[in-house]
Amino acid sequence: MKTLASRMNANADSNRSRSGAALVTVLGLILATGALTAMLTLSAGSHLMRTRATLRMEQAFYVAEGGAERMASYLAGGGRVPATIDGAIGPGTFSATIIAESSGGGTSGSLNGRININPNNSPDNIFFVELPDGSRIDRNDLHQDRQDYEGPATLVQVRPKGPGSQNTFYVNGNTYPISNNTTYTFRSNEMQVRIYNDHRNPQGKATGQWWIQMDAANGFASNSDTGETVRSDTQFTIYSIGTVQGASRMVTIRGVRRVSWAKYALWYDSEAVQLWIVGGESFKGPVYSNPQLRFHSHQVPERGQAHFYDLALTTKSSIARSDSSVNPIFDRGLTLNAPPQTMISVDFSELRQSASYTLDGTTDIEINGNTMYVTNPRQGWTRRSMAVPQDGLIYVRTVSTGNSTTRPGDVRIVAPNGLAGRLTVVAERDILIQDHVRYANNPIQNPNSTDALGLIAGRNVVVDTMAPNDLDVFAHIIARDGGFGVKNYDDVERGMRGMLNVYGGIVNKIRNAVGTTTGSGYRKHYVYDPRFQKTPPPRYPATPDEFQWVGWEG
Amino acid sequence: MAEKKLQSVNRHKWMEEAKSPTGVALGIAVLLAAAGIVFQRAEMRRARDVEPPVVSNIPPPPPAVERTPDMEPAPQTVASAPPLPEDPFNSRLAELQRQAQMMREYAAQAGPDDPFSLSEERIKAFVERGEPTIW
Repeated sequence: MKTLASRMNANADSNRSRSGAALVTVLGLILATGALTAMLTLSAGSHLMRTRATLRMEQAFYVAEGGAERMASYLAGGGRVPATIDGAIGPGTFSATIIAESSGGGTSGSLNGRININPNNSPDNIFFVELPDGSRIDRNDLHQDRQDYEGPATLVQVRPKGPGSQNTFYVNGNTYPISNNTTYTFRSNEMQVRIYNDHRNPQGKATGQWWIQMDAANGFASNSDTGETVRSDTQFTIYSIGTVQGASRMVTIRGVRRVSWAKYALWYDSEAVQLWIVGGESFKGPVYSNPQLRFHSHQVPERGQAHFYDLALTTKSSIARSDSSVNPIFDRGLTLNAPPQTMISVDFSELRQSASYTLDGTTDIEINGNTMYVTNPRQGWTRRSMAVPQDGLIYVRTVSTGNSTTRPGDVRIVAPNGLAGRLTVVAERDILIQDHVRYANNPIQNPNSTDALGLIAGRNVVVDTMAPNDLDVFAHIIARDGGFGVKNYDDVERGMRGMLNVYGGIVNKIRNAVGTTTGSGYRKHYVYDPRFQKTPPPRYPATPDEFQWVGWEG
Repeated sequence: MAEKKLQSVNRHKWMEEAKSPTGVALGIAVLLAAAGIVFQRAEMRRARDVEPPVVSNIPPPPPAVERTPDMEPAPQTVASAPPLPEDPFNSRLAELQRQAQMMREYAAQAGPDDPFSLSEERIKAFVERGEPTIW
């Protein structure tokens, strides 16, 4: 019995000892699990914070993009420049501003003085400075720890916020009032600026208001109240800052400009007669046709199928082919039932305003390199030698008085030795091509050639009867109310006149005839000048509501 | 019998230990850890499910418009030329007549000073040649 009792006691001690060890083991495991879980939670929390920060940055980017798009819509709607638009998209806010890269208006002269820019995190004001190296200082940079900046700058954009107007800035020595809620642009290649805070605490932190001091001998000032004069070819820059819960991103779109009519290889709204596209014709730029596109087998065996390398659009629901051997090639497809377009944006009053020379009545222009010989009876000019206006425009208008033979705003043009330069010639009535019109530096052989010619007629652009066979016409052509064609295209007695080589593009309201299968007129060899996609002839009119840009940074 | 009783005593002791303050603390720790894991998963799910709210502000698409016969058809792109229509060409004579008609209409509208206007004699001569194709 005693033995049994002592054995039972011994077992009880042993069991107590084992349960204690198990308890310690369980306790240790639970603590380890808890520690592991805490570490995991901490790590996940850290990842979560980073994810949220990334998410906010991404959202801020999209908000900035949305702001930039709204500014583009503002521009398309004819809004003044410079300008600032604020708004909210989802959880974020944006502040988008636009400036003209090449100014056409505003006030030029010396700039000096200071402006209280009082930046804060509100989108109610906007401020940024562009430095010569392309970097920027914007209002988000002006925090407590920011040191003052003193040095060169090329652009200052500011919409101040604060009480009342400021009269501490001067253009040409005259007070240039700075009002709240007005956007100002100051531009100069020789500007010195100082961005400073007017109070710093003993620790050096900026606790006062921020100011900018500007000083430029020659500069340019414009504002959103009066706006700048902009042309169809003016380029803009859009800056848009998106902010979401303290995270900011900026999107910059540079070189924003309207798309010019020179983007078209061929555009026509109607036809004088029923016209066919024959074998060998090719189009390396976009084509738009309001009438039905008709394709003929003529010259297909010799010159191949008609070939559209770029977009082709027609408002009609089908095309026509003369027979089954005709199969035009559409590299980028053919869009049927396209929305109709108009040439309403070809504005002659705007062209006239931007003219380098305006002449009255019938005018003869012979171009030879960078010189032109101009005959204009109303000016009393006979082959008057003049320099081709660089990036210029010559405007010839119709008049209603004087000798009736010289009243029409017609231009007779020849350039057999080539144009050296960039020029647009505008005639209120007709432009008659009487000899080769070429470039001094042929862009077919040298794609880097910058020579460019635009021919814009209120009515027709005509290949005249005295033009030679195998004619070269290097130009982009617009005939706003008429068309491009060959005079006496039906003259079988003269016979075929060889090839009409157009290197450029043709935009016309009423497409006209060039030749016939009965042996009259020219055969066609039209090649689109691809340089015009990005660099149209000077002052070239823009298509409505269509924009392109050079660079996008964000 | 004695062994069974011993097991019963041990289970009783474990239960008593579990009811002690240390046991309660351990239980709470386990519960908290479990709750942490659940919370973390919920947070991660929430973060994953967040759509960029930019999209949420985009207005809904306009209501579908019923097509009426006078509405223009929607643009469509075709990669190659569609098949020939059933009757793609009128007779040569009909086309000549149409060309002559268009020439007369153009001359009437543009006037005689337009370089592309053809006189009636030239239009008749064109028709007499019998070849209507112009480019």
